[in-house]
Amino acid sequence: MKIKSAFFSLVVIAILSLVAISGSSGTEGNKRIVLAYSNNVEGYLEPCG
Amino acid sequence: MLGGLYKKTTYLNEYRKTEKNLVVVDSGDLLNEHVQIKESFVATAKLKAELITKVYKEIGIDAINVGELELALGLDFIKDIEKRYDVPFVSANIVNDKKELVFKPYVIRNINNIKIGIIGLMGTTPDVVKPFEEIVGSTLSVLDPIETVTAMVAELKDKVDFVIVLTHQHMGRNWIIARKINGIDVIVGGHHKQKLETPYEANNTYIVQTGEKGQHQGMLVIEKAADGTKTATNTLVPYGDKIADDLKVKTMIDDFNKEVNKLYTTASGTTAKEETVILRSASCGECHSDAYEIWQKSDHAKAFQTLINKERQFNPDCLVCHTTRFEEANGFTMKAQEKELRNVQCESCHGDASAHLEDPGSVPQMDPGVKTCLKCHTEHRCPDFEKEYQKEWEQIKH
Repeated sequence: MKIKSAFFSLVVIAILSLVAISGSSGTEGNKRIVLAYSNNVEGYLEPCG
Repeated sequence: MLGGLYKKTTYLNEYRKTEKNLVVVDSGDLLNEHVQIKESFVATAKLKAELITKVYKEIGIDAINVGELELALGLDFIKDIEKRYDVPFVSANIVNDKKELVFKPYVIRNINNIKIGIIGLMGTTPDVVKPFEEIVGSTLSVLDPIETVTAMVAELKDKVDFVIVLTHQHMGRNWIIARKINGIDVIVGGHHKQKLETPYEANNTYIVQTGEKGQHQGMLVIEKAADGTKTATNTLVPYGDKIADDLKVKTMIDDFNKEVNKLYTTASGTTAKEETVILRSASCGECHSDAYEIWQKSDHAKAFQTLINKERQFNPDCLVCHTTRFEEANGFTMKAQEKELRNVQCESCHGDASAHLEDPGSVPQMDPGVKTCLKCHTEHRCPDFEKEYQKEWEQIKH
């Protein structure tokens, strides 16, 4: 029983690790980021009227 | 009309919930729009800059390139908010009179195990140099951009997975930097206000830019293979009605408006609700009664009331198009808050009428033309104005 639950824990850890790696790496080891960018906001807060 | 800091907050906060690899940057001229900030609204400009800094800090900003308009607020002020709010201003080539860097040249972010180097750069094209020198005089100067970026990229290339350069210069120079210097993944342009729906590509570098006034959020998804080849998709997300307002930031802006109102109400000894006053255009109406009647029925005659309704009647960014000849000769001023010059009156389009009132033979601008309208009915405020000018003109034809 103990062996079964240890094996199950290992599988869970392996799956979580894979999810973490794929999150940081994109497709098959590629690196992927999302760049949110802006320019010339010039103090603009909101429409005036 | 697009834009709103509270919409940006909502959008990026929601995006971050499902995207761990988000990097947030701005390429400068973020905090202020005036090259010379008049004494009478320095306090407002600083309050606003501080508000924007606080909001960007909450959103989670990774780097802000220093534009000349940041420096118009005063170097000491920018260094102070950098320290107080721990915001990452970067500039690799703005130096003091001892040729020492004034800001960090770059930052390295570790986001979900990906390292990103973000370099700040001030350009040396005339459109930047002129206002830069007007603002800082000889206290600061700018090192050669090509030499600077070459050195910075060499320093970063083995330390990071992505190199991003935030520039502040004419778009043409971004092409030159991309072509001349290997190893840059993305250039985010600024100062020059061109809106790029599709990024330019040169020498395996993407060049992106959003336009102006925070109307759109640029979102570049970029994926890089081990051999350095890249793919990217770019979206300019319009901050329109489909994006909800972030209520916390909306409250912060409302509080800012109230604080500014308090500042000027106390200073001028007036309140915004005092209404009865003879407007300057009444003098015009004595001879030009037909035109005056048409004006009275127009939205131009109600322009100031719209600011009062939203408690923005002391906001210089709004007053410039809701009063007559804001901060021009014989025009409305922040300091005196001349009630007779509220609204968009005759002189807003036809020019200062002082000489004409003294001597009717001295004729002001009779036909200001569409160019005058476009000063306020800009593409960002009224996207179709120029296209529909004739229809718009019919509403106030005189």
